[in-house]
Order: sequence, then structure tokens, then C-alpha cells
Amino acid sequence: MFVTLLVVLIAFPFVAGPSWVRLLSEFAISALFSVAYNLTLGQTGLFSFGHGGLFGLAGYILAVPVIQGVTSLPYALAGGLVLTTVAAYFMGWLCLRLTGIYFSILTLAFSQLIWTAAWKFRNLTGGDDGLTGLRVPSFLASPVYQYFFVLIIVAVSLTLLRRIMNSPFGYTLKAIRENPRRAASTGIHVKRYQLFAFTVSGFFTGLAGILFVLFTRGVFVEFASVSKSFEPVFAVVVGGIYSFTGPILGAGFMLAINHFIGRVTEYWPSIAGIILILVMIYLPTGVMGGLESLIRRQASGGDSRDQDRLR
Amino acid sequence: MDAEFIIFQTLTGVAMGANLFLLTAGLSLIFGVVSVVNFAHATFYMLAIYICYSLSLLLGANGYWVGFVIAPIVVGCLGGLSERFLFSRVYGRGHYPQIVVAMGLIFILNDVFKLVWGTRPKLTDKPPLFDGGFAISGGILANAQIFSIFVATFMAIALYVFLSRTKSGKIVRAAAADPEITDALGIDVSRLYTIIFAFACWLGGLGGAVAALQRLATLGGDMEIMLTAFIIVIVGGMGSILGSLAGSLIVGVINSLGILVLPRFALVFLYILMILILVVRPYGLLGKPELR
Repeated sequence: MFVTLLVVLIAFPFVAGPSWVRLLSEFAISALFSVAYNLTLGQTGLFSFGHGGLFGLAGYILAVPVIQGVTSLPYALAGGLVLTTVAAYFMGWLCLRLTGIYFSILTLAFSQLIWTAAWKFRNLTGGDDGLTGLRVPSFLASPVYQYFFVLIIVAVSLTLLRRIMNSPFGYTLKAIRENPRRAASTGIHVKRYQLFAFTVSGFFTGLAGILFVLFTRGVFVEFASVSKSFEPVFAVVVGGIYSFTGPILGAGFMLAINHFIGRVTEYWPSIAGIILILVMIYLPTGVMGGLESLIRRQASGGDSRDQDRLR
Repeated sequence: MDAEFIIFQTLTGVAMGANLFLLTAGLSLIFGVVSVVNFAHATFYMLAIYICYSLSLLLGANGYWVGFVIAPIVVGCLGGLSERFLFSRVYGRGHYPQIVVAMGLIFILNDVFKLVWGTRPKLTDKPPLFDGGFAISGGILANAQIFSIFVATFMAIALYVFLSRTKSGKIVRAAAADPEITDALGIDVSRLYTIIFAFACWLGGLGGAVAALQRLATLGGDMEIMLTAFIIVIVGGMGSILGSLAGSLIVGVINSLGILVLPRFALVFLYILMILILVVRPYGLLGKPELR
């Protein structure tokens, strides 16, 4: 199955038109963003609203110096990744002083701080007009090359993320999610693990942000907005919070709503909203979670409804 | 910059804080009693501003008064309905599903705003009563600001009397302290939750109706208000009405004094305040540690 997928992905740009190739690149970036985000939400149980800010921050750190002519692209790329990771560490360090809902609100505040800065430092960031005209190397110029570049980085990142999630470290995070107090009593340094998870998630979020800016060749305040933070939440909720493939599926779903329903009506966010509410009420573990429990129920033949419930 | 001007600016801040109190008191009440964090609260507030705008457009400047009465009721009903049919279905699963449901509501409501009122900011036509102002030494305090302080003071006193002096208030406090025991004592807690939700949203709607005199109805403006509301709630302590009063006034005043120092970045002071509070007193000025 994996080989089939690989063949399809490699053959895709030679079969489909450039607009489809661009769409698939965008999907890959969005999938990376969502899986990176789920390292905090699904794996660790930290509901962050700060990831939109980190996504945008990475984009701005990459785009601003290059477009303003301060430094060249490779340096800006490295700088964007490193500084976003540092920012994620700092953000996590401060926000993790709090738990639960307070943590969420504080991350939201940080995200808004980044958004406000991007919006108000007009002469640097272009304000609400954004910055366009990022010059990319020739090997990124055509949609097909760009697609392979994005695909390779996303594939490597997703493999890494999967390994992290299935490692002893990943299982420790799950233990923290299920019961932080019990985890602490078994000798796990809860805050340190949470902070590490948040920082790793921030790193990959930054990577997604950088890819997205390279992809759009510009950066806009929307990249750091609250709605950007909502995107991976949607992907995770709809796709499946406790599954690795769930957020990827959700990201595809979101992109489909955005592109295909968005083409018909400008009121696609309300469709997304209705889906969110319905999924949350009737399918709390998302599509993948629902499928898994369906398969389990068929396999055992009995009623396993209890297992579907979130804590 | 003289002392008189600073006093004037402080009063402006108090007026702003007074209005924000109506918003955050509801937020705190819902959190304290129902333990739901209503992320859509500011969106409800924005809905009230839009309704006031429409009624002032429809019925002339004095139509605002109709809006002042009707908008909070509409918002309150909407709040009660969303509790009954949406939020109540995800109780007992932590805060995560509640926030997601509220997010869905925000998406839907903002599309409604776009559909009905378009993307351009809307300014409510003020009744002639609010044309003037009250001259004090530092400047002119607009009638709308005085009205805002008046309504908030009235509501603060009414809330205090209701919660601490009446039997219904006692039931609300009992349900906040221990819903299961309250339920066992024969009080329909799930109905109480709906009522509290509706009332808190009514209060938020009232805040929006008062704010309509000064604030534009803007698409997406609810996010900014929501964040300010959360800063207040964090500063004051979540679940405490008195805390949200203190938080609102502090945030209002710091914001309007901050404008004098850094005109474009007044928000920075609010962030510094919030971070300071979080480091020193993570559960807010008047919050209780065990609420976390």
C-alpha cells in the first residue's frame, strides 16, 4: 500500500495539470502543519491556539529579510527555523506555567501578539498588504519541482513525527495526556516533557510555515492570524485526534472545503463550522477514530461503545 | 501632559472597563457555574452591536432604544439555545470539545454577519440624547461613556444583590460549588445551566448594545474583543464576578493610559500586565487556585 501511494505521488505531476499539482503541494504543507499541531493536542493533550502565530512567525522571519534585501534565502531559511523553535520554546515555557484552558488562552494571546506585530510594523512587514515577490531559486520555480521539494521535506518530517509519536517519549506524552498527576507520580517530569513536545511541534510548524511562504512567494498577516490557528484544529478534530493519519485526512478535507465549496460560495466557513459541531457531538474521535472503533466492533462482534468515548 | 488630562483619560478607561465588565461578567458566570469557556461570547456581543445598528437604520436614531432592549434578548435566546442543543451535548469531556463547538459557532455567526451586514464596518446611529458630553477639566466625557458607566454600575449592583441576597442566587452558588449535590437536592441543574447561559449571553448582549454607541460593528472584530475579554478574565480570575469587575477596570484604565505612552502599541501594556499576573498569581487577582 505504501509503495502504491509512493508511485501515485511521484506519477501525479506528470498526469495532472499544474493547478492540481499546486493543490497537492498545499495539501502536503497543510498535512505537515496539522500533524505537527497534533503532537501537542492529540498526543500531549495541550490545546494550543498559538500555532498560527508560530506558522506566521517562521514565514515572516524568512520573507522579511530576503525581500528587504538584508540576507540571502538560505540564511533566512535557517534563521526562520531556529528562531521559530526558540520562540516556541519561550512561548511554551511561559504558557506551560498554566494548565488547561488558561494555557489555551495564553497561547492565543501570544499568537495575537505576533499577528499584531506583523500588522503594525508596516514598513517592515507591509502591514495588512503583506509582502510579495519573494525570489526563489530556479529549482523551485516550476510547480512540479516545487511539488517534489515540498513532498520530500513533508515526507521526511512526517516520518520523523511518526517515529517521535511512537517512541517511548511519545508514549510518555500520552501518559501525561491521560493523567498528568499520575504521570508525575511515576517520576515523569511533566512540564519538561510538555515543553519538549511543544517545542518540537513548534519546529515542524515553523517548517510548514516556511514551506508555505516559499510556495506562495509572499507573506501576509493572515498567515499569523487566529484563523490560521483554527486550521489544524479543524483538521485534527474532523480527521481524528488520536490517530496519526487523522489530521492528514482532516487537512485534505479542509482544503477540499476551502477550494471546492469556496469556489461555489464565499460562505464555506459556516459549512466548516457546522461540520466541526456535528463531528464534536456525534463523532468525538473524528473520522479515523470512528472508523477504528467500527473495525474493532466488527472484529469483536460485540458492543465496544465504551471505548469510543473520550475520557 | 498634565494631571487633568491623565484623570480624564483614566475616566475614559473606566468607561471602557465598565462596558467590558458586562461582557466578562457573563463569561465568568458561565465558567464559574457551568464550567464552560464560551469562546463565542465576544461574537455574541458583536451580534448585539449589529442588531442595534440595523434597528437604528430601520427606525431612525431613536430606534437604538429598541435595539437596546431587543438585541440582548435575541443574544440571550441564542445563548440559551446553543447551550441546550450544542454545549450540553459535550459536557463531561473536558474543555476541548466545548472550545471546538464554540469555534464552530464563531464560524457560523461570522458568516451570518457577512451575509446580512456585508464586510464593511457599521456605525450605529445614536439617539440625540448621546450627542453631547459632560465637560470636565481634562476634556469632554461623552454621554455614551457616562451611560456605559451607569449601566455597568447598575448591573454590577443587581448581580451582587441577586447572587448574594436572593434564594435563586443561592441556588446558583450552590450549583457552582457542587452540581451533583444540588441536583440531588431536587434542583434541575441542567435547566439552571441553560438559564445561566442565556442570562450571561443576555448580559454580553447588553454590553454589545451599550458598546454600539461607541464601537463599530466589524467583521472579525470579535476576535480582538474576545482576547481583551480573556486578558481581563485572566487578570481578575476566572469564575469570579468581582474579579471580572476589577479586571475590566484595570484593563480599561491601563489601555487608555497606555495609548498616551505608545499610541499604536497600547496592547503591549495589557500583555505585560497579563504576563505579570500569570507569573505572580496564575489564578488571577480574585480567582481560586483550585479552579484551575
